[in-house]
Amino acid sequence: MTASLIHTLTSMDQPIIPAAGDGQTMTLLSQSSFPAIFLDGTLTTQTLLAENNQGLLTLSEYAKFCRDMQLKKTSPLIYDLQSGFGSPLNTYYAAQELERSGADTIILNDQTYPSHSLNRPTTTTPADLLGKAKAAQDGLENDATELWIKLEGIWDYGTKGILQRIHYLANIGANAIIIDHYTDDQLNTIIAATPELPIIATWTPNTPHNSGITAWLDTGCLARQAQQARQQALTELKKGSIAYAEK
Amino acid sequence: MLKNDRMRHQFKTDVMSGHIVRMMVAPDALAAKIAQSCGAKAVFSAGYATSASALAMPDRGISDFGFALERCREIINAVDIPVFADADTGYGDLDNVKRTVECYEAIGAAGIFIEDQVWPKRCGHMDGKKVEPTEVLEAKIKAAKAARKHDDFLIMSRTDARAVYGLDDAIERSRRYKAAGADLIFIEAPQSSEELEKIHEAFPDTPMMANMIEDGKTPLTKTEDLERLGFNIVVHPNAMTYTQTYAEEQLVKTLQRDGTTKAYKDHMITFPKFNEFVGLDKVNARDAMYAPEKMAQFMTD
Repeated sequence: MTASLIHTLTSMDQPIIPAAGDGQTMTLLSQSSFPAIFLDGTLTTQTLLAENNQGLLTLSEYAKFCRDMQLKKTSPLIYDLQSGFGSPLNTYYAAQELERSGADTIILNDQTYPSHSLNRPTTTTPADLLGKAKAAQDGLENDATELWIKLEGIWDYGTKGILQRIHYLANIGANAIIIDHYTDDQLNTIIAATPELPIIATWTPNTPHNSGITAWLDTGCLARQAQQARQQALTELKKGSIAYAEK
Repeated sequence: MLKNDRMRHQFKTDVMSGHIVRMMVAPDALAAKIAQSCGAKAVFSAGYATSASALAMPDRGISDFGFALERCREIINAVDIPVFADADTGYGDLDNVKRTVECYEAIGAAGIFIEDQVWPKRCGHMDGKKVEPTEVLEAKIKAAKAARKHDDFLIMSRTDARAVYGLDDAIERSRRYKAAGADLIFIEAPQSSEELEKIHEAFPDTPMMANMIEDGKTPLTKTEDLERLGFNIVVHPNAMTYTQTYAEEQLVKTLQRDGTTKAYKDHMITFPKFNEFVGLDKVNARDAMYAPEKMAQFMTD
């Protein structure tokens, strides 16, 4: 089903890959014909642990959730390997576990372990990232399972550092790059340099169009909308209007 | 071919080969790895051993689907031989059976059995069992067959009716379970070699399983003899659990008595041998493969 997810995305008109972190959203999305669904680590942490820090979510907790969700799969599933849940050795076994749990594509980020859900996370060295990327590849049994790398340190190593890492990751055989925490100018600079791998950028509803992007990776649009709706309902609940309406 | 597909295919081929497949029930991943290292062609993940290992509780329906599935998954991931699974009653109604089949298939089990006991069930060799009307497991077998994605994920029916209504009823139920779609038949706790023979005569063309439990209702019978009787699978459900329990009890008694484990050391595997068995060298070698200096080859302009 996912032998060529990145090629499928390339042939489309910059599709958005929606993010889910709970069963209801997963069900909704699986009925909505998206090219793939991303089970985001931060959103899953919010669901399972009532916390916002993805680094609190362990591999076994996340993989269990993924296995339950894969039973509802109608399109390729993209799993969040975070920063490998430890060293490259941990990354090897973590990638294996996520593939066994139904992953069609795995996203490895370049943060130090444990990952954090921050705008300016601390990132690791290129050599450590490459070790983890190679380990993740080696841990995968199915040749069709793709490895995408999310680069989160543009605020630190700049577009030059991004392009250098993309080149290294192309050497190692990664399938795509995701750029996070970027400005529009930075994204334009990266695209203008014609990078060696397909570029996906993180997306929120106000993200401006960029013609060089292969696809957009949602960061939790539905979850934020749902939370706003819950807050609105909570306000009504406090006023007692729901109870009154039910009477 | 991916591992899950390979294991399912291999198990089906072995079961249908006309030769008997002998399986130990592995209480955990380590036990399964031991069985594999000693030449086992397949292992079983079953309720009695999982209840004991996970909860230190008897097989009385306290250990649930979550425990059973996770333990089976751990075992599958630890070995490269097929793993067959005990799915008890399917853990509820037909919706539960569907989920049970989907989950066991997804983790790579070679197949499952589903039984006709009333939940909470008990070990098939315990007294006081109750069975559902035949229609209940008939419907579950049909639901299981409809839910499976691969034809070589085998569905076995198990009846516990021998203890409740006698062998003839157990055979008649199994005929109906087979007609409902069961690939394999298991009549639990026959009480003599003659009964084992009668079971085979009732199903000459259907793969059958025999359960060899120490101190159970069925006479302990050699694998070769069961093969001659026409059985295709024999399972030893409790032997590893009992051996583990006995050995650990002796060890703790020794420590309590002597203040050291020295007198028991001859009954243990050594530190280096155990590390070798669980693959420490391989893990260390893999760790070294991804060291920063090894990545320099990819960091070229």
